[in-house]
Amino acid sequence: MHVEIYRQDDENNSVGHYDIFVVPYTDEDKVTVMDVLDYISLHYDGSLAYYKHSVCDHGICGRCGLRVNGKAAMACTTIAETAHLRLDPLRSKDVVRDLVVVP
Amino acid sequence: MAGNSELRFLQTDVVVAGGAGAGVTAALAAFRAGADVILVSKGKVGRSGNVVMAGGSLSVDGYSAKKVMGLEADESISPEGWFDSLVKEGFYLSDQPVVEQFTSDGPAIVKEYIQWAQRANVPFKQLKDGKWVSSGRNFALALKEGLRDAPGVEILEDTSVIDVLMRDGRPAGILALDIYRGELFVVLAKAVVLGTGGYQPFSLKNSVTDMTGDGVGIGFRAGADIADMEFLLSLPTAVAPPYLRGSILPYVLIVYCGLKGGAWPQFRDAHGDLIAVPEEIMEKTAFYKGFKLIKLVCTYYWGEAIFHGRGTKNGGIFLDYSRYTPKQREEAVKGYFSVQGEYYATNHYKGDDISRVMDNLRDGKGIETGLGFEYSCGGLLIDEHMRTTVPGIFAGGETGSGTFGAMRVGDGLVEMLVQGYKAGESAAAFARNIEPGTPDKESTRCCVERAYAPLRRKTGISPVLVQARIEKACDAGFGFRRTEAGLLAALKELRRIRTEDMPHMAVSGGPRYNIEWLTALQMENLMVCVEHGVLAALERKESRGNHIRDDYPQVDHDTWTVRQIFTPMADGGINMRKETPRVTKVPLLRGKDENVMQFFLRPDLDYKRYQWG
Ligand SMILES: Cc1cc2nc3c(=O)[nH]c(=O)nc-3n(C[C@H](O)[C@H](O)[C@H](O)COP(=O)(O)OP(=O)(O)OC[C@H]3O[C@@H](n4cnc5c(N)ncnc54)[C@H](O)[C@@H]3O)c2cc1C
Repeated sequence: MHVEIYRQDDENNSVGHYDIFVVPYTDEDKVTVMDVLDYISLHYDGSLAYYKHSVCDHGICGRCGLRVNGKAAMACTTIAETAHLRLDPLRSKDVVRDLVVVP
Repeated sequence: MAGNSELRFLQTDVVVAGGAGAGVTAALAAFRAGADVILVSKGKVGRSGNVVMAGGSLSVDGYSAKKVMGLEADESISPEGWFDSLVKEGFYLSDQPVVEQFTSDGPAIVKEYIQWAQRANVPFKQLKDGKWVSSGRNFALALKEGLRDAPGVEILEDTSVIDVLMRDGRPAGILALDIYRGELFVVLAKAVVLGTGGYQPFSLKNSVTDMTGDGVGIGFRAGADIADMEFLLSLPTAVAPPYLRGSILPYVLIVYCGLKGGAWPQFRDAHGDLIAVPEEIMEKTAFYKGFKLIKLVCTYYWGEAIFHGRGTKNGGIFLDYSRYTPKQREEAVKGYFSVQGEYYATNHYKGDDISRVMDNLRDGKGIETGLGFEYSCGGLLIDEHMRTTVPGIFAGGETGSGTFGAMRVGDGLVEMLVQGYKAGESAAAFARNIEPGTPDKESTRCCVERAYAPLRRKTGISPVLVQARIEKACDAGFGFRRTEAGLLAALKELRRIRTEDMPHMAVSGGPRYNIEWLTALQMENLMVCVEHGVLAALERKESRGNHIRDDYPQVDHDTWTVRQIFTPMADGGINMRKETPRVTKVPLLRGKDENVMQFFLRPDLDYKRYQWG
């Protein structure tokens, strides 16, 4: 699975770009977007910012919002079912860093 | 301020760490007692803590339900009987004055809690007697509503408490990290309440990611004793499919399909062979006595099978409903949804779509299930006033210890309310007699240095990897079946991680929402918990509650009805002592039981609980 992720560092006025990661999951595996992010964080790049403190991982706390292939979704309950995944921060608020927007 | 002029600071009487049950009730009680209060919570109030994960239910004894709460309930279930059951089912290891506080003060705060739920329009469903069922989300929203009764409390969310700052051996405030702004700051305070929940060090998670034992680590670094660290409660938790991993749906299925349709699953190993549970155990423990022991039954028998190589590659077993007719299975599914369906979207449990799993149940296919840990019985050593061993530092809820002994058979939800409230009262009373002051320069400097260290270190080991290594070591040796060799290996690896990896934890990027940085700080706390947990488990050469030793299956009342307590040492060394639990009413046992399940067949246990079914 190819995962394209929006990156923006935490300096003011910084400009974003995309990083691409290849993770060893297929759409058959039924992993969630959160699983994909955890995989990347552990194996490729721990500096990736995605919502990870106070995470319930089962669609209860509602805090891990982001855009998956353009559509607003929760990382923990969205199954990664396409061979190419594009992840962006939510549009409604300013980006703090990468996929995380102001709370 | 205190030699750290670059740090912003706030000032109050009582600072509370934690934004769930223990934290909210502590803030409320301290506010009502006239204190100035600041509440600092890593997550958001109403959306954080293990409270959002609850399955869930809470209850009070029948007598109090009737007399204190004015409900229809079975009066013969008295507070004394409740106390008696908690102590006995916790394998006699509870601190009895703490249990008395739980049973005597519990009903009043539960009554308020139910009112908050009504006000927030998330009413809990009352089952017969003093028992309520709802969803974790509702349990958390009710807390948020309750905090509105303390309008003067300043609430700082998405902010993690890092350390208590000290002055002459007493707290003078806390150091905190504003997670989104990436900023350290200080809250000066005369008393500190730690209500940050428990610790969960395994890779299979049914708990929130905050469960890194922060309060325990923070309190321990400030000089407070910790106890009972070897006891962690596990329950059936999904291991597959990946999107459901960590869900406690299997446990909830066992309870609610059984309750409504009488459909108890059989348990099968990876090869399809039956994992036998003696009929007597099923009858006399699991289902008969209010379901609380199902968790231990599963942990014991599944744990044995998995440990001895009969588990699936995901580390689980199968729940098998195939002995029922399709009609009976449909009834069981209906029974389940008739209760759980009230809280979630169609075909969902919590936010997870469970249609495929329920189809499997209907078709008589197995449901793959493992054991995940939901609660830590151990934590800061507290008394019935929620005082830790450091004057001015208080703790309640899962951060404390002593309520449930070796196994949690009562409600964590009641514990968080009743102890948080008491901790808040005690902290406010303590703060009344103290002049404000600034922390020792050295104490502040050390804490600030420690907090910044991983951020300043630009090359080294990612804290995310350190966490994965800690979890791997705990999975292998500290889980639901323990042996000398396994525990020794876990200890060795944990100590290697502490001495070789952790001093080199490094973080890339700047401070704002830097999850590696936060993880690095959390790992310091988790390490305190797991190292002492493993040490205590190694020392305890018997089985008791959720501490199940494959090499020492007996419950040895003569030698081991003791709590193991650690005092922090200035030089970082280990100081462990054993103490007999304080007894007020229930005398301790003598003799031995063959194993933890046989313990429950003792005629002298004499339960005084609600009966079900
Ligand atoms: C899957 C599951 C199901 C459960 N079901 C039930 C049930 O049905 N009935 C029952 O009685 N119990 C149940 N429990 C147990 C119950 O949820 C806990 O015992 C209870 O939530 C503990 O309350 P607490 O306030 O002590 O901690 P928590 O609810 O864990 O809250 C901790 C709070 O502290 C905050 N925090 C953490 N670290 C810091 C820090 N460093 N600084 C500031 N804030 C911090 C967190 O963000 C959170 O706000 C369940 C637990 C789990 C995991």
